[in-house]
Amino acid sequence: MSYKNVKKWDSLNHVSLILAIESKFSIKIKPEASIDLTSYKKILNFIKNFKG
Amino acid sequence: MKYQNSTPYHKILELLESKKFKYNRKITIYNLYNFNPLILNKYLELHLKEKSLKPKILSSEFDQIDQGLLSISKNFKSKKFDILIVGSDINAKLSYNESVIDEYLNSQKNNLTQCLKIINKYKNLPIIFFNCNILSSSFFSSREEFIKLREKIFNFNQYLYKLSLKNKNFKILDINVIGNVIGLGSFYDSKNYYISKTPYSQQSNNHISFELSQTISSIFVTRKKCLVLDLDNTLWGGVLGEDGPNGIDLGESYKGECFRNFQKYIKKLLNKGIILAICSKNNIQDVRECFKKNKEMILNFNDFSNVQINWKEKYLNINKISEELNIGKDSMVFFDDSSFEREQMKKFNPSINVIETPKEPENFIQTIENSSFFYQTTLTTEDKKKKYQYKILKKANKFKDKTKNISEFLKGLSMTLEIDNINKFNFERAVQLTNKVNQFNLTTKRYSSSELQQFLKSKNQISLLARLKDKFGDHGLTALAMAKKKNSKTWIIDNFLLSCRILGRGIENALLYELLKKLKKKRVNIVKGIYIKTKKNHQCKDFYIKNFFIKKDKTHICDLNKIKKMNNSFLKIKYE
Repeated sequence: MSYKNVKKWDSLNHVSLILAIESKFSIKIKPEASIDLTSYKKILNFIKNFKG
Repeated sequence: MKYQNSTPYHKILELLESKKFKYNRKITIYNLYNFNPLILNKYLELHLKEKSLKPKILSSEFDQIDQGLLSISKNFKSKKFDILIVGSDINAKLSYNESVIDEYLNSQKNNLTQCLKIINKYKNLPIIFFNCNILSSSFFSSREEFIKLREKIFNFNQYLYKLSLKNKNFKILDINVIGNVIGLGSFYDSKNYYISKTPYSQQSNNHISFELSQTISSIFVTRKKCLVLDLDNTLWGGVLGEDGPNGIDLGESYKGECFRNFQKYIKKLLNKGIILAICSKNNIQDVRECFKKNKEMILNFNDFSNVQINWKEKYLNINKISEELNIGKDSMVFFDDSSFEREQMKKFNPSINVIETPKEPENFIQTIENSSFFYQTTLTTEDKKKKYQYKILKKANKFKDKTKNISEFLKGLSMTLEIDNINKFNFERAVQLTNKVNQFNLTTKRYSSSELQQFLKSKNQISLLARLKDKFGDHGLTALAMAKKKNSKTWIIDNFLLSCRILGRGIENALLYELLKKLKKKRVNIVKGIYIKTKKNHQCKDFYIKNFFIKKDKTHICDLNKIKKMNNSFLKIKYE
């Protein structure tokens, strides 16, 4: 699942997604990193690394 | 304004996905912002849904306020929204100096001029306008500059408030107060701004959208009518039966002052037209004595339109209040410190609105405020009179108990029905009635201001609003009838309703007769009356059949050439 095959995943909703992840896991994501989080897998890895 | 505990953003999204909401009304909101409102709108959606409003939020491209306003004022016919929000925040400009702020204030003034044009042209479109934030001094090069600019912003904000007082459709969202409540330090979030063009922090988004939802619901949701209060540990501290009239906590002590302020707040609600009632397990003599003897008491025993003080279950007593005041249960709010009573009420009388009363009396006022059950931005003159009207109703009911024969009773009331067309003086009340009345309402058609305006524009309509007076006083504008042309011979009754507080006096029959007479004068042959069943209007099911109409298929037909003169000698009819 990535921004390519999810229609609603546009730049605005990407912001919404990043904010939701930040508040769900109580983490801060740097803007540079957030640009890269364009698929479910990447996000999952990112959070695992962050927490681990 | 109390600080709103901020719900984290992911929770908002989850709640929007999973929670089931009950809706009373759909509204379409059009917003124009100079920032990206994505996050703000998610919060707003949730707050509105929690107030039983189903919003559709339309946004223009952000930072297009002036173009947006221009296109609305030019091309309003295509208007497909109920309310307009205009928000321009100074932080979207980020760097501050005199010229930036001057430019910002000028653009705000332009926006304001456009908004006023729109309001003038389209009388019934409410607009919510963000005022300007007063910034902290650290942004400025010198103290002098700061003081000068602060004054400019302050003056503009004062001007906005004055406008809002004059114009009921112009509402202010006070970003300044919200900034103060949250603290400027956590009000803005510059990271949010850089990545998403949203200037506000999560807390601010939550707070601003909550205030927006309060204002919006005050426009579109009719507030509750009656507050039912407990006594012990609610209006005062301690237990009257044990502590005695002068032993209860009210007045100078820490707790006593909380309760006294709470009573002051209740008095304010009363003056805003909220009906008060008591539902308490106590001895009535003790309570009377207490209201008389305790000098710290703010409320009078007479401030309560109905009092149920006994040892019966409260969920039964509240039914009595509802019956005696003729107020629907869903318009009543129950406030009691005991969680046992609240739970019982919820279980056995689920249509009553129950407020989750906090343990600490210092939080009582805020809890009622946050519920927004009684929130209203404008008062109609009818509201101010309401308590008085319920009082005279009580007198009339007592009179009814004394006289046994009903027609004798009605004659003895010496009632006058003053009938008038809906006009600009009573327009507000007409809209209110179509939205409020549930029980005696044949079609339960709700009208917004603009919809009613539209209806009145047509030449082929009759709309009547009636005021009832009797020997006890003025009951106010309480009955409404609207009919419109269907074809050359047939008219249809679009709306027919009577406020429940004047039911049982034959007013409805008299008003229908007057409407039919008017239609006959217009050479109408056939009148159609429809009854649309709802959960609450069962009592008017046979209204048309009892009065001149014959049932035909799903509607009722009245042949105006055949109607007989009606005996309504129990009542005087006056046309304004």
